[in-house]
Amino acid sequence: MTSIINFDRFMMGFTLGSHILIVTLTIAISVIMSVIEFLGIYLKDKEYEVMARRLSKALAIFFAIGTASGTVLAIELFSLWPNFMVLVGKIDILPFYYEVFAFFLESISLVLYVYYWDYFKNRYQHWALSLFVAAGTLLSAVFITMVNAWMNTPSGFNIPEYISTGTVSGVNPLAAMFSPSAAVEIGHVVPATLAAGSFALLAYFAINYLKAKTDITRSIYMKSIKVAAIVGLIAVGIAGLTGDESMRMLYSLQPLKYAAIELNFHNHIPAAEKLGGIVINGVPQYYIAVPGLQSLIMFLSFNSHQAVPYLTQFPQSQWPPLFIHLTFDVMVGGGALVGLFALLLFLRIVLKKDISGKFYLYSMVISGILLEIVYDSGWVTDEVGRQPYIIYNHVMTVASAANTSPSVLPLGIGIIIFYCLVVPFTFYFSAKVLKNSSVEKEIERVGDL
Amino acid sequence: MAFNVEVLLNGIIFGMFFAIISTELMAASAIIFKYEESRRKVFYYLVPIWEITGTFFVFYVVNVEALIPNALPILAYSYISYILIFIVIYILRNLSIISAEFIFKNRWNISRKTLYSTYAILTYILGFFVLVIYTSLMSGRGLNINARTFNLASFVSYLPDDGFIIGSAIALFGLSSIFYKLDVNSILSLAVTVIGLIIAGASFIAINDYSNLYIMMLSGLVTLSIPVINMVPKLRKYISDKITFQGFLAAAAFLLFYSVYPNLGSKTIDVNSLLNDSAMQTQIFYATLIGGTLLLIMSIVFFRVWVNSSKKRINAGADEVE
Repeated sequence: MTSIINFDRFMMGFTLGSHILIVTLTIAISVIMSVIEFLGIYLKDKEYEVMARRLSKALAIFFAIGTASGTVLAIELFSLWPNFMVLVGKIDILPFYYEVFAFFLESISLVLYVYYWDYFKNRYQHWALSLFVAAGTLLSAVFITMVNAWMNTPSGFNIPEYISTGTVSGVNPLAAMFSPSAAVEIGHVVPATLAAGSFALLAYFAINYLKAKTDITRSIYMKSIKVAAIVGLIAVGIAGLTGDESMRMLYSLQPLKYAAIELNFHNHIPAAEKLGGIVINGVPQYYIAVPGLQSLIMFLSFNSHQAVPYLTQFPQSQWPPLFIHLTFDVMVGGGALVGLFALLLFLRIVLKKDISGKFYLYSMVISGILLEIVYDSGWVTDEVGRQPYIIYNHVMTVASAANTSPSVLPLGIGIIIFYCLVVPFTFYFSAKVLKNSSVEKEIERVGDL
Repeated sequence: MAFNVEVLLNGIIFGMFFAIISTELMAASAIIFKYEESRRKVFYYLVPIWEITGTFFVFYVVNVEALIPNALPILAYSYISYILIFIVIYILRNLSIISAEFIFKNRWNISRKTLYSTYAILTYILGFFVLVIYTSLMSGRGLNINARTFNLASFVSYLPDDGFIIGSAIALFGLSSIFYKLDVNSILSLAVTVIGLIIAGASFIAINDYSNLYIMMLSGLVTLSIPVINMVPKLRKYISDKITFQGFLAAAAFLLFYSVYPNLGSKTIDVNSLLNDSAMQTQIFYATLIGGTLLLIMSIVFFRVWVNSSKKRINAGADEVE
C-alpha cells in the first residue's frame, strides 16, 4: 500500500511539474502579447502587430494543452487524493470555484481574441480583449495559490474539534479562502510565475534573434526581447521583494518549515546564514556559514537577541526532507542572479545601448532555463517543506489522503509516459506555428494600423 | 420533492454543459459522415467553441465537488480506471483539434482531415465515457458503493443501461443535421430523433431512478419539438439558430436531471443526505451568481461577435473555414 501512496505522490508531483511548465508560458505570453499589441497600435508599428498575432496562436496552443493538463490535475486531485478533496470540498472549495470563472474569462476572451482578430475595426477594442485574457490567467493563478495557502496555514473551521474527533464543523468558507498566508503567497507566487514565463519567452526570442537571417526579422525579435526583458524584470523584482515577506510569514506561521529551509538544527543567537550544505548522519556539512546574517535579514538588526526557529524544537517525525535547504538556495541564488541580469538589461535598454551582442543573447537563453529551474525549486521547497502533512499540522499526506487502489499503477504509468510526449510536442508545435510563414509576408498581410 | 437552490443551480450548469458538449458530439457525427459539408458548415462554429467546452466540463466537476464532497471518494475509487483513460483521451482530443487548426503542411500522411476525424472519434469516446458514468450512477448497475468498485461487464449486461446510451446517441445523431443545417431530409432527422428518444425514454423508465415521470416526459417533448419545428419551413430558421437550439437542449437536459433528483442508484441513494455544509452552500450560491453574471455577459459578447462575423462571412461568400 505504501508503494501505491508513494506512486500517487510521484504522479501528482510529475503532472504538476509538467503543468507548471505550460502555465508559466501561458501567463507570460498573455501579458507580453498584450503589451506588444498595445505598442503596435500606439506606435502604429506593424512589427509589433506581427509578433502579437504570432504569440496569440502560440497562446491558443498552450491554452488548449494547458486546459487539458489542468483538467487532468483537477481529476487527479479527486481521484488520487479523494479524502483530501472531501476536506477541501467541505472547507476550501471556494477558490477552486472562483477559478473556474477566471478560466471562463480567459477562454471566452481568448477565443474572441484569436479567432475574430480582424472583426474589430477599433484596434483598441481588440487589444482590450487581451487584458481580459491576461486577467483570466493571472486570476486563475491567484485562486489556485489561495488553495495552496490554505494547505500551508489552514483556517476557516473548528480545528480543535477536527483534531479530536475528525469531524468538520464551524465552516467559514471566506476565512478559509483568505487564510493567513494567502496575501503573502499570492504576492510571491504570481509574479514569480510571470517572471519564469517571461524569461522563458525571452530565451525563445533570443534564440530566434541569433538565427534570424533578415534585418526585419532581427528587428521584430529585438523589440520583443525588450518587452519580455522589462516585464521579466518587473516580475522578478516583485517576486524578490515578496520572497522576503514570505520568509517572515514562515517564521511566524510555519516555523518548522522555516527551520528546515534554513537548516537550523539548534538555537544560535545571532543565527548564521548557511549557504549550500547537505545533511550527513544528522549533521549539516559542506556549507558556508555567514555569521549573523540570518538574524540580520530576519530582524533587520545587528544586535538582535531574538531566536530563530530550529529543528530540535520539533519532534523529528514531523521534519520535512531536509534537501529543501538546497532547493531554497537554488531558488534564492538563481533568482537573484537572473534579477541582476534583468537589471543590467533594463539599464542598457534605458540608456539605448546595444544588447544584441552574443554575451547578452546567450545570457538570456541561460536565464530562461535557469529561472524555470528556480521556479520549480521554489515549488518543491514549498510543497516538500510542508511534508509529512498535506494540510499543515492537521492531515498527514500518507495516513489519510491517498487513493490506494492498485488500478492507479498501470494507468498512472501510462499517463506519465504520455505527458513525456505531450509537453515537448506542445513546445515544438508552438515554436513551429510561431514561425509558420515569413515575417515579410505577415507584415504584408497586416492592414493599416 | 424537496427543493434545493444549490441543486437547482447544479442542474442548470449540467444543462448548459450538456448543451455545449452535445454540439461537439453532433459535430463529430457530421465530420465522420459528411466531412466536405462540415468544412463549410461545422468548422466555423466548432473551431471557436471547443475550447470553451472543456471549461464547462471543469465548471460542472467543481460544482459537484462543492455540492457533494462526500461523494468524491466513491467516484474516485469506483471509476479510477475509466477516469484515467478519460484523461488520456481528453488530452489527445485537444491535441488533435489544435493540430488540425494550425497544421501547415501534410506530413507522414497526417492531413487536416485525418486530424479532424481523429478528434471526432475521440469526442465520441469521451461522450461514451460521460454517459457510462452518468447512467451507472442512475441505475446503480455494476456500481458497488460499499466496496467502491465499478464492474463494466455487469453494467453493460443490463439492457436499459445500453438502451439509454444508444438511444441518446441516436437522438443526437438525428439532431446534428438540424443544428449544422446539413443537407439531410427533415423527415429523416425527425424519424431518427424519434427512434433515439423512444429507445432512450423506455430505457430510462426501466432504469427506474426517476422521481417524477411527467418532468422526464417533458424533457423528451422539448427534445422532440426540435425536429418537429424543423419540419415547418416558416419556423425552421428559428430552431436552427444556434442559440435557440442550445437553449432547447439545455432545457431538456435540465428537466431530465430534475426528473431524477434526489435519487441515484435506482432510488437507493438520496442525494440530499450527501449535500455540503449550509455555510458553504450559501457561498457557492453567491459565487455562482457573481460568476454566472460574468459568464452571461461574456457569452452575450461572444455570440454577438460570432453572429455578426457569420453574417459577414456569408455575405462575403466564404465557403469554408480552415
